[in-house]
Amino acid sequence: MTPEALLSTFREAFGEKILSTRTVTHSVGRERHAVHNVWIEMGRETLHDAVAHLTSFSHLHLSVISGDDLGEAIAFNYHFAVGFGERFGEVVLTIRVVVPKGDLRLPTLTDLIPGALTSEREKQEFFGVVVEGIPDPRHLFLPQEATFHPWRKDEAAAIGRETRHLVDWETPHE
Amino acid sequence: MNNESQKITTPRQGKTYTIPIGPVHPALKEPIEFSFELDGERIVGVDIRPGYAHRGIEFMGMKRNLIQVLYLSERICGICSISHPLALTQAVENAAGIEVPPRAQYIRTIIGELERIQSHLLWAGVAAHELGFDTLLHLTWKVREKVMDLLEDLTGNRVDYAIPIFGGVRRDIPAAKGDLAHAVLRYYRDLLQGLMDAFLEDKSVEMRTRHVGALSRGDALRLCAVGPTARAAGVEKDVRQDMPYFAYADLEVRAITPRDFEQEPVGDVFDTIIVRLLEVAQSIEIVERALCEMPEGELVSIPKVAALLSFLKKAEGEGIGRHEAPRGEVFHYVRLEAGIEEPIVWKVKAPTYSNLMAWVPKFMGAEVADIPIIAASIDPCMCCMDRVHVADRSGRASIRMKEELIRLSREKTRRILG
Amino acid sequence: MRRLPRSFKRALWVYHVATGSCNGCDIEIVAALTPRYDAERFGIMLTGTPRHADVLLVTGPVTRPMRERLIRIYDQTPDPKAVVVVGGCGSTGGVFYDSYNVRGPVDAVVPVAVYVPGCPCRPEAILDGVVKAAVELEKLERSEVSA
Repeated sequence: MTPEALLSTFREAFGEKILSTRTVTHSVGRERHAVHNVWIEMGRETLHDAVAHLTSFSHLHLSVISGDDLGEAIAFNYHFAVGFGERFGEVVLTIRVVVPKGDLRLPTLTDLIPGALTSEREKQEFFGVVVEGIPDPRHLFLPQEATFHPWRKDEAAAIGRETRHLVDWETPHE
Repeated sequence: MNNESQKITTPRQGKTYTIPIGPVHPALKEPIEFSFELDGERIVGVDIRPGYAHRGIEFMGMKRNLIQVLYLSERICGICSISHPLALTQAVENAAGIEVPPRAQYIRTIIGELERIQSHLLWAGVAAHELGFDTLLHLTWKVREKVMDLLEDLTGNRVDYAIPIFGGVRRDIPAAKGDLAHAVLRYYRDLLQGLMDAFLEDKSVEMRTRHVGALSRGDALRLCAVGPTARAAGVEKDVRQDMPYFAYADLEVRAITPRDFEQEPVGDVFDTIIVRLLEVAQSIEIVERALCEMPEGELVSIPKVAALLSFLKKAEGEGIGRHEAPRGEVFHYVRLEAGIEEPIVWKVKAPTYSNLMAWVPKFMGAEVADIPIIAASIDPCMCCMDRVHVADRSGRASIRMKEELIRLSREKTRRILG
Repeated sequence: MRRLPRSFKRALWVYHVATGSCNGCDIEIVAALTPRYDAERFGIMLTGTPRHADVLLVTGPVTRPMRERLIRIYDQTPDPKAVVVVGGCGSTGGVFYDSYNVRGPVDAVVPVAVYVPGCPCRPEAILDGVVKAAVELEKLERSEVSA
């Protein structure tokens, strides 16, 4: 699928709801083949519909969700790989959703892509975002009782300068 | 949980019981904890709890300058110790707009593929060990030392090669070393058929791995599986094919599935053996071609580290780097801001992260004796199988050591062979 | 040439604990046991349980959840025992010096007899470390007999 085709289906389906789009093209190899990264920014409320729209005509591989603490808000980048199985057949599509810190909620994608669970659980513990409808809300990498969010850049990170000697959240011994 | 108390009083009527496995492992890999729900010998539920090896690498990376992050990325994994730097350098090069000279792209490809040979042989040995076939473990690890020697000769270290840097590579592969590499590749080419026979023509290996830990194509797609785990299930997915980079853009790599061995993919352990062994052959070809076609030229676009650091400090933007590691897709996302040395965001996605969910359908319906080989079948970068703790619902517990699990696995091999 | 320690009159059983290592040293430990380096010719064998072990090989900067487990494994190992730290990050914390989830280095958690530096250590260095641990064990054994 070409990035133009991808973007035009998006424009048709969502029109005004797309906040911004950008295509970054690199050339690789001796023959200067083009590979594309497509970036789309949209609102939180359209995210689920957008992914449903995409899964209706192509297989979506969710590589990972990355988060970016912007100060007043957190941006979440959903990195998808669209199309596979042929040479240069894949486009990396990133859907960017900005969520204000006062209202940290995201819809779950696990009903559309069950494999999204790992990444959604990770975002919950590392950013303190609430993924609504997540089937398994437990911590994945941090201890269950950890209350801080390491990838935040504000006081929620709650990590002192001497992180190595941090002792205030020791697990109770059994 | 009010029916819990009922089960305590009548434990025999409780149909299932739970065995936790982990998190400490004596032999090979990193700690992880499994919790299996069993109905007799059958696994009916599985819960996976990683996090024992969580070191907070991304957090640390966001406090260091990019050259330091490169060193840190090398130490994410000691088996695919070039995959993470390759993905990170791509992400940063895309973000900062650094061109990589063609010769450097070929050298990166060569080291990356040699690593794949090393890693797949390592895996094959581990798989043989989990099946109770230690002769084969020692055989594969013996032949693996050849490629370790070659890597040491080319890069100066057996692991953590420190080859890529932003905008190029640190070391050249001169013609004399190229000849050495060709000799090693010939050695593997001659040996590979024997190794394939040892694994794929052996009746006991087939009986232990055929239809064990099967993953359907649909599940592989839905659970976002990557690498040999997905390819064994018949998903023709390979970053080197779908979105080529480095020299892969010239070398025409094709995703390998069991169809290349004239088998319909089942996604079981046997298929993952097929895929990995065929990929060793593929890697030998790629390295041979890359060595022959490698263009002359510069190794790095910004040779001085101080100049590179100040260039990166001025850079602004975001970039994605992907690399097909031996276990599957490695993904790095980086965002840089002008005037700040540290990356503002650094997100790492390792292949096992994607394959974590694929473990669940693979374990379902399997027997306890198959746990080691199924756990190993995705080639986890973190795994644990040493201490199985069997507890019934009444809370009485008995400890099963890894030896016993291996013993169970071996007994099963013997039982099948009659 | 230094004489081999008396402990070599019996086989040395080794238990490996990964406490958040990157797999680099772990794989080199296995490489040390396989035919090229062949640790078994010295009677060095990997066991599946700390209860049979003379030597603990610890790799990795002890992560927070592994700290408690490492202490438990150390307690389960019968005396006399020696802990060998394999790798730079276990010895000093290495590149993981400022993480919220790292509680290491290993000597902050359990007493250490031998440090094997390197990132990762070569198999020869690991064998050398285990041999040095044998010397330590012999000293411990003697002090136990005299006491």
